[in-house]
Amino acid sequence: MCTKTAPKRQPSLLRHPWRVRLVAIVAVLLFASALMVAALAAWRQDSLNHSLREDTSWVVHKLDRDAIQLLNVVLSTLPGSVTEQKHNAINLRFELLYSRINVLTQGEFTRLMEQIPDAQALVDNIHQSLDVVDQLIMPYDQQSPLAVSDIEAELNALAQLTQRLLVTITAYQAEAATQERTQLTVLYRLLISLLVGMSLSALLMVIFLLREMRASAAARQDQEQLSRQLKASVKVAQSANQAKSDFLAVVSHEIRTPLNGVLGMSELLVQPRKYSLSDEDVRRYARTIHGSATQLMNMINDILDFSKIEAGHLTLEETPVDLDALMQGVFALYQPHAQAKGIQLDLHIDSAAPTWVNLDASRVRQVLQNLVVNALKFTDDGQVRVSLSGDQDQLLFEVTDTGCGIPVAQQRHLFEPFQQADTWVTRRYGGTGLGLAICKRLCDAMHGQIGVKSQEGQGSTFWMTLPRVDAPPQTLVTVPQVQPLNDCLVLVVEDDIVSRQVVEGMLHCLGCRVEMVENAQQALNMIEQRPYDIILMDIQLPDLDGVTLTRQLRQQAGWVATVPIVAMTAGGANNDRHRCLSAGMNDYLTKPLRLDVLNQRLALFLNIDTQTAEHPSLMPTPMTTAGCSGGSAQRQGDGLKDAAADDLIDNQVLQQLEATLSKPAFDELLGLFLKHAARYLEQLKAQIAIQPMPTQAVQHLAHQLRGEAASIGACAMASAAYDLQQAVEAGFAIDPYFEVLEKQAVLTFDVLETWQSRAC
Amino acid sequence: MKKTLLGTVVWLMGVLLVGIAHAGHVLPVPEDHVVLKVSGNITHTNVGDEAHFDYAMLAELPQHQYTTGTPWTRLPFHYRGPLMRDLLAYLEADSKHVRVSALNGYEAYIPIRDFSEFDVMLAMKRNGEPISIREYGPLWVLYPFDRHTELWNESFRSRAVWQVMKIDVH
Repeated sequence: MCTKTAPKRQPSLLRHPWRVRLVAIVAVLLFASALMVAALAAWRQDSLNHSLREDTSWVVHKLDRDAIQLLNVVLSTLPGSVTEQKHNAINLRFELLYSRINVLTQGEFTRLMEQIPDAQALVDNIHQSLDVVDQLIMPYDQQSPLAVSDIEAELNALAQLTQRLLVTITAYQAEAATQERTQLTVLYRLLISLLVGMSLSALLMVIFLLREMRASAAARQDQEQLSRQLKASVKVAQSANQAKSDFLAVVSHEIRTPLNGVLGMSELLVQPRKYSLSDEDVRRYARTIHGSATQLMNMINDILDFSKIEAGHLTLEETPVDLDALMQGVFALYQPHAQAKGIQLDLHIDSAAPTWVNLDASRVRQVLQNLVVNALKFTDDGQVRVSLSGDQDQLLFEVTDTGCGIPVAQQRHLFEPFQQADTWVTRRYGGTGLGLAICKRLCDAMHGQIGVKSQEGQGSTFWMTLPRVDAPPQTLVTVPQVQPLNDCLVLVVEDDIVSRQVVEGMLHCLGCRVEMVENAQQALNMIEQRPYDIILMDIQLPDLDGVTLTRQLRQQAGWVATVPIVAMTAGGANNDRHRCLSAGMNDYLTKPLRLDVLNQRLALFLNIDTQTAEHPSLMPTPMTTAGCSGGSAQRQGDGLKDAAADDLIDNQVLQQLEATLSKPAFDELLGLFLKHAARYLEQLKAQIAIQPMPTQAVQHLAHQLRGEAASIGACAMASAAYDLQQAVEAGFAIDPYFEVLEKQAVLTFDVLETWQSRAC
Repeated sequence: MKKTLLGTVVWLMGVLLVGIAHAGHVLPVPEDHVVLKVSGNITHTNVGDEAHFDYAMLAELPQHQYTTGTPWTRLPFHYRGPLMRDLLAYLEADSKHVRVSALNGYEAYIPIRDFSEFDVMLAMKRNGEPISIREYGPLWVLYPFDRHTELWNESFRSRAVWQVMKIDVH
């Protein structure tokens, strides 16, 4: 975003400068004009013309007044009786009067007089008249009789002239003032317009500049933001890199210890000796090697798990979960181990704790198992107590032990990767130091918290809180949605008897007529005899695999080319599905089969409208509420696992089976499975012991076991069998895998026997 | 004691001398008809508390001369007469202002400062001739207009009183 807008904004500075420049020029011009006009106005006002006119007025006025005064003095003088004093007075007055006309004719007033029409002529007339009077008024000693009447007559004429001059000047004055005012008004108007124009252009300029400023500020901000982002990315990249380096260093270091064990012991074994090793020694060395290798494997599993979480590949699947069952499962899993170690393992579930909640059961179980394993590991005697309580908002899981305890200083590092309470812990108890880090991350992902309360030598309590989201109790029997598929004829091709019974029971329950065959040849025979509405087919058949069989069928003419064929498999490689569909199969179901899914698919292919048919999809229904396929897929990457992270048993499958089949049939099915599974395990054990190992036979056995286990929902077992199968294929040492399988089998058998007895 | 007596004598003589010097010019009484009367805060008087001057008395004061034009005469003339500051010093006038009255009844207040700042003349002669009343005589408080352009404004023009008759120092 930044990179787009920044170059767009910046040139606006360059795009508009003509505008700013133009406005600036206009403003400067206006300013200059305004200055000129103002100067002009000031000069006009200041000019001497104005005062000169006033002065002229004054002088003319005085001239007129002096003329009249002189006239009055003369008038008051009787002819013949002029005293010297009177004469001198008249003379003085005349002199003064004369000085007035001199002012008008000599000084700067002349300039003005020339401008006024008539004035100059009048002044000349007055001057002449005065000269006439001048002749009449001589100094007293030169002219004794004063020609008063002549003077009077002349002065009368003079007074009229001065009067006229006064009028003329006054008129001119008025006119000039008006004219001046008009001019000034024009000037002021011009000045105001210029000022307004100037203000406007200044305003425009300010607006433009503001806009530019804002644009550049925004551009700068964008740049800053970009650089901040870049810095942040660099920092993230650097820290990620650092973390990776640290991780690698620590992992390498941790791996070296068990590897040293393996190398050291194996070296002891292969070294030529003077005396031969006793069997006991060899076994001891081998046990050490085995232990180290197991530790190594566990560590690698943890690392894979941890790195998967770190890489953000952790997805939570929140489903309604029966907390009681979950806790019981965990408890049941470790009860034997605790007993063997002589530790009392207790389970306490608070009555206030809810039974049904929404959470990711497998993740919660993983955390709990980790905590319990730790507790058992670090407790030599005493008890380990697993408890669940809860309030309105959250669930509280606690695992309390009476073990060695953890120093306070080390408590806060416990949940960081590769931290153990002490290095001697590693030496004494083993472990990768990743378990609690994984727990922490899982907890974070589930919006929960995890922590520890401990005192050295007083034992520890690890606790986990999770937000409580109540779920409605799930109906155990999920048959109600079933739509009877009466009278449709289904051919099931399945070699495994347990799976066959499961499918048969379910199909009967759905109201179908079923015909069962065990291999491809039988299937072909049946198909020749009569048409079927739908064919369900296991992929791995003893004589021919299901994919090839389908391909053959699809090449035939008639109904076989179009009949819906649905694969049934215990799940596994993803390309299985693709292979099936491309061979011409219509769908792909993973075991354990679920009644509702089966019903929905059959209805879909038989064109029977059901409630659930509104989601027609060829995708295998995601196992949202039950199933092993998720666990199985996860297990592919995980390889060997000491503690099962998945459901031991998918209760829902068993519940459905229990509801679908009659009780005796259900019991029989379980019995059958138990018998088969035990047999398979025995055979597997025998096969594995053979050197070299008959891999195909082992794989086949594992596959069979897996199929059966998956059919009845024994997920953990199915997963373990699948892991074994994969290990054989990959050429790994399979003993540990078999060990896990056996362990899971024991646990599973226990639970199934409970079901059996419950069914009775 | 002797010293005190001697000091007193010296002091008395000093006072006496200063007094004589002060009264160095006893203002003569005008013989011709009076052209100028100076009144007000002056030390030297000859008629009552006024100092009266006839034309000759003024002519005896130190004369100054320059040629200048005026706003009222188109051509420049050569003027001559005592400087106003000399006249006032002569009378030992002590004031900030003088009020100058003219024959035609005009009056103007002039700050004494003008007289020290400019060579303001009480012009008596123009081009060597006494100035007639019609030519703004006989006495004219004349500013040297041509020497100082700043004088060409209303305020100085109003102070350049012509046809001077009387000066009142106050």
